[in-house]
Amino acid sequence: MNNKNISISSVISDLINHLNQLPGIGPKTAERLAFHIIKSPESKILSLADSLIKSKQQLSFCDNCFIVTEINPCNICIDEMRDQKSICIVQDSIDAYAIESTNSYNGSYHILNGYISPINGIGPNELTISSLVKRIEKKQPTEIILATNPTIEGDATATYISNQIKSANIKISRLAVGIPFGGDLDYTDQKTLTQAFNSRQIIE
Amino acid sequence: MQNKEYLNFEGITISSYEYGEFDKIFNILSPNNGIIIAIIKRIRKISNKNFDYIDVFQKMNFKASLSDNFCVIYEAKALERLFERPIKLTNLCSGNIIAELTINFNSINENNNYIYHLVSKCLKWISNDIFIFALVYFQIKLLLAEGIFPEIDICLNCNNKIKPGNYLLNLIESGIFCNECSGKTKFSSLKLLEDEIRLLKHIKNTEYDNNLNTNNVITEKVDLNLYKKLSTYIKFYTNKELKSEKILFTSLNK
Repeated sequence: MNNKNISISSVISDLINHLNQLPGIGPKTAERLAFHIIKSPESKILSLADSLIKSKQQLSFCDNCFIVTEINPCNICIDEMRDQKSICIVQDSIDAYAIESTNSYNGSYHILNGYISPINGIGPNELTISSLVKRIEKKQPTEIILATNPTIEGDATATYISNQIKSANIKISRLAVGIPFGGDLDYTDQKTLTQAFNSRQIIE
Repeated sequence: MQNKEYLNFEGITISSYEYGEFDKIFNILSPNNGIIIAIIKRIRKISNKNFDYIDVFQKMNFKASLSDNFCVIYEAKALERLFERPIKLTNLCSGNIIAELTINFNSINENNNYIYHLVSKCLKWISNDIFIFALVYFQIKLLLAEGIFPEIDICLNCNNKIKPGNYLLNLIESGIFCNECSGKTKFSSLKLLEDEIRLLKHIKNTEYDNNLNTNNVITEKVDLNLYKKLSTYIKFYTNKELKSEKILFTSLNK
């Protein structure tokens, strides 16, 4: 007979269950994290709990671009030094943070809050695409950069959006796909290598 | 120490989901073993010499290790891409419907090889924008392979040959009643039009090859209504909703 579930404290199993619901956390990792939390000093855990509560109380989505923000509209949308005529469309706020960390883009963003995934019941209506279309009609941007992931679903999302906004007179582009810095040609898969060849650039 | 068992197999990636920080789990349809659920580690992070580009709707050769609970892919070499980019929403939805139906009906039997080639063929047609026909063809051939295709040639009650006309398809008894006997059925039914019955019979008795083109007369005749009716019939048997279907209908209504 398996007594494991009977002997474990309900507080611990509750904690494990909650951690297990987080993306990327399986049952084993949830167990490990739970016992790490239990063994950690109380001050550290209270601080973590405080951060969790604050993240729900003080963060929201920007009404304009849907990025996670403390102020609404967000810092990026109200920054006059940024090119508000350029909109980079990304799947999640974390993707915008990744692009921001490169310091190579100085325009605004639009966060879709996901990607089209019919098999998971996520269609265009579940994303912020209608708000994007309204924003484009209102603000008349000159450039749209589609920075969705280069997967089938990311590609379908980009294609759908470009079809929705094609009628407007806007330069629409997608992020390039190719060989990563430090990568080895020999290790690059055929699809990426073909794409890299097709997107090759003239040396000036 | 237990030796790892390795398996080399050909398969079509029909669906995937993210797992952990860098990994993905794929449902891979194989010709001999039905759907194999396999994890590919670190696939979301780096290029690896052992892996070609992997996404859904690709035919690939896999090398995997098998354990009781898990199949871990160590090598994947591309054989054929079944979906061409750019991907239209209607095509993605249709591909996902094929995936959902395949998963719902997955059983390891003598039909696996047939289903494998059927999925491959239908995905190619969808990629060429022949998606309604591909879906109806897939539904019909799947029902035939699973042995639950409805009786449409003779009346379920009197066994008389069904003459051309509109009839009610009885969901519980899986077939149609002639006009004289239709009063004797009290179970839920679907109305099939004469043209729809003719198309059902035609597709049932015809195997189209991979090179179906958009000018084919039959592809033009098959419409969304027949798909919806067959979908209702299939749902009656599986008791499962298809998530992709709702999004396909929404996108077609726009």
